[in-house]
Amino acid sequence: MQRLAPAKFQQVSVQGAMQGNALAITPVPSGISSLDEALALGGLPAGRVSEIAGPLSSGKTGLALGLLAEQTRAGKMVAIVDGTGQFYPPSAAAMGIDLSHTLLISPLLIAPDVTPGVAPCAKRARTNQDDAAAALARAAEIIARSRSFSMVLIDLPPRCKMQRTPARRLCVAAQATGTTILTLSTRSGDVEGAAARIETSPCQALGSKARRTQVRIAKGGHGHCPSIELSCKSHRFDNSPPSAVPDVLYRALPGEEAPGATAPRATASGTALREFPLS
Amino acid sequence: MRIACIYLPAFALQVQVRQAPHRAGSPFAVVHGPRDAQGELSGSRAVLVCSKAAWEMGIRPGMSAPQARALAPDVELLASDATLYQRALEALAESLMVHSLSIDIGAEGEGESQANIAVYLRVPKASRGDDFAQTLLLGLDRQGYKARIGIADNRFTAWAAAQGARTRKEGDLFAKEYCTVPTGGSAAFLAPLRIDLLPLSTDVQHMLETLGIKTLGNFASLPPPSVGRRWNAEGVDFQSLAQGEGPTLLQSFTPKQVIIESIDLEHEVAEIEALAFSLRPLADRACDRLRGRSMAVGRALLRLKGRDDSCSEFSLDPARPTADGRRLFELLRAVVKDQRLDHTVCELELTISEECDPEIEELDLFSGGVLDHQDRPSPESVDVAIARLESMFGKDSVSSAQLTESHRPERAFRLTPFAPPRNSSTRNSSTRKRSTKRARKSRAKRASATRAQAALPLVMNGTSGAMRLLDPPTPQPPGDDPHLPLSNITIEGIQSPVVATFGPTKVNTEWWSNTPVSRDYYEVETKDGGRYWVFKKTEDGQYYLHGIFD
Repeated sequence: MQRLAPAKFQQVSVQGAMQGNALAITPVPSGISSLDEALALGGLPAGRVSEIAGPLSSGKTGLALGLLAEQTRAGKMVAIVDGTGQFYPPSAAAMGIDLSHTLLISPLLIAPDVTPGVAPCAKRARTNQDDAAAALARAAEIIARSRSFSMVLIDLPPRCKMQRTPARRLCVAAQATGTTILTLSTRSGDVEGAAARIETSPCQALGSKARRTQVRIAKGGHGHCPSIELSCKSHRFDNSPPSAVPDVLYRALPGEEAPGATAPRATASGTALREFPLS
Repeated sequence: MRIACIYLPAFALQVQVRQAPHRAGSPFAVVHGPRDAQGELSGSRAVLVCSKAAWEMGIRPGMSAPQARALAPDVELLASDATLYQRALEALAESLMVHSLSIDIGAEGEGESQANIAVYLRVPKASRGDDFAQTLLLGLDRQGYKARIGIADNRFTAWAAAQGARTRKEGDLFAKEYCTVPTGGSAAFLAPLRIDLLPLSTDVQHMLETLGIKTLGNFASLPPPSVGRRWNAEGVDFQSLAQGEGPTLLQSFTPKQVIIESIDLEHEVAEIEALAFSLRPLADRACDRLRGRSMAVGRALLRLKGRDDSCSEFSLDPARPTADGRRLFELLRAVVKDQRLDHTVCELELTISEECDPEIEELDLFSGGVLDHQDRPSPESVDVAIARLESMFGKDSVSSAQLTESHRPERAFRLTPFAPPRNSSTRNSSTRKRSTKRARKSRAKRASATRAQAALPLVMNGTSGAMRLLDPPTPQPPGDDPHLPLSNITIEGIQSPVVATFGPTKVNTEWWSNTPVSRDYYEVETKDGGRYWVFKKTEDGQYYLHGIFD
């Protein structure tokens, strides 16, 4: 079924374009050529919900912020619905996002799991998280309905799954208004009905300053799409090859011995480090 | 010069109905004088004016309050409120300033003693009499008033023309609520009218009628010396009025008060949705007054008052100043929509707490196409969306970030109210001098932002990828080797061994303040490929997790 979905998209897109149909799906380019090539439409589908999922520190936020940056560079307004409270504007600015074109909604939604005097209840905690996801979806829907923002990013808190009804409402709102909605989650499939699903996972950088992220198009890509590897250096993702020589100080794990390492050196602050040659 | 007279019959009644729309059609009367300490009307107070329903029950102006109550126990007797009438009159004058800047509402306090009110204004040169009258009537209707309008060359003739106009009633399709006297035709218009239009005493009127002088034309044709001899200078003034040569001077009116509009509800309301019907007239009235001042809403405060001094307040900060009633109504509705009330509401009050210059949209030649419309965000819809979000999550949850010049990461930005980027086609109606000043301020703000952006690499020098900031930072347990940087990162209860460390980047700032910061920042990589931003406090050597590269 996953193989059929992209072909279906292409068919709708081509037919719509030929008939001048307003429902034709247009791609939103990500600005990363290899990622756009991997996606069936040549970018994320506009007016649809797309999901970017991956564990902590896997590069999903950087990927999403890069997409937002592309929109603000074109003079469009974007919105970030921050369910985690961890959005850091200076980092977003460094990624190229124009903060004056960015609306930030940061509700602190999840109530503490443990109420004083009451034993912790897993069911209540889950209900809180579901409510939080529904509230975040509602906020994104209101923004989309204003028809003034080209892209809305929903950052779901960890272990927070969006239930079917809010996800469905979100899809309808995105489709009706032409707003592209991105969701960030830690598990793939947390948002039902997403038209494209991108999964990210961290790559061992082996001490290189440039980070590596493995990206897999789980939905909305070509039939047999291999995973692509992206590099992030100086706040920008690209598909350049990894640097051969590590350019950092490296501390080997017990039992491992990195090649070319010098003897441990005591720094001014008393920190002992093994030093690698800088590139 | 042409003068328009707006004649407002039973002004006190109209103000009471405007304040509490449910009184329309009910029997009530306004009694001259305040209530006593017990809230009862004293016996010496007389009925000033009464509604049609009260008139049909036998109430007449001039009756004492106990007489009226004895005749019709169900009739509602309201004490005359001079402050309320004066405020209403000034509000009306402000809304009329949209049409003309020369408005005369008479001396302060005149409104209380008179049942009927006349407001005079100068007719702009380019406008046609009938069209101008119809425009005025539309504006008055929006303000909740019924009026008759006369337009003539002088005040007296305009007033007399307003008397001759008829108030439109149900089914009366051809009644005209205005009367326009042609230029130079004042004498001919006044000649057939009855002499009791002149403010003469009753004795003098009887005497003149006995002498066969029954119309203004008869009075105007009397020889001036004989009139002057009998009534001295006063008589000559009356004669010039009757001849259509009355005064044309208008006293100027300057708005002073803060714009406050309120409506009383018939029943106590507990549901927010039900209040939406009353918000529209409030918004329309406030915006009419603002347009009269050539201003727009910068900030507004909506108070939902209940009994026993209970009150809920909702403030509104539109991203763009507006003087459009519909847009203000939409914003107010969005602000209160998702709120829950802990008390019932019996009065709505809207205060325009801050006024500012309106934005005027300049239409360019090639705008208005379908594609253009899609590309350009609508400021109204952005405002409404923001108001709804603020109502749902609170005011502090909806914002825009701005970079600041600080080396302390958690203070490197601040949250400000979101203002959509301006279109090139909107301009401010303020003077060139003011706009230059604003441009200078804007340039300074941009320069500050650029400096903040330039200062950014000092904190995040060489870091890779986007970062999530943990605020407050999470303390990390010390590693096995005290001489090495962190050996493990613990996040959400999961421990990951550190394989690489970059740094340190020293941040030593705010040493001049009470809260100096001295930290060594490291970018660490864990075995599973995760990247984290940690710092060591130089005072105690404790490590903290401050960010996640994601």
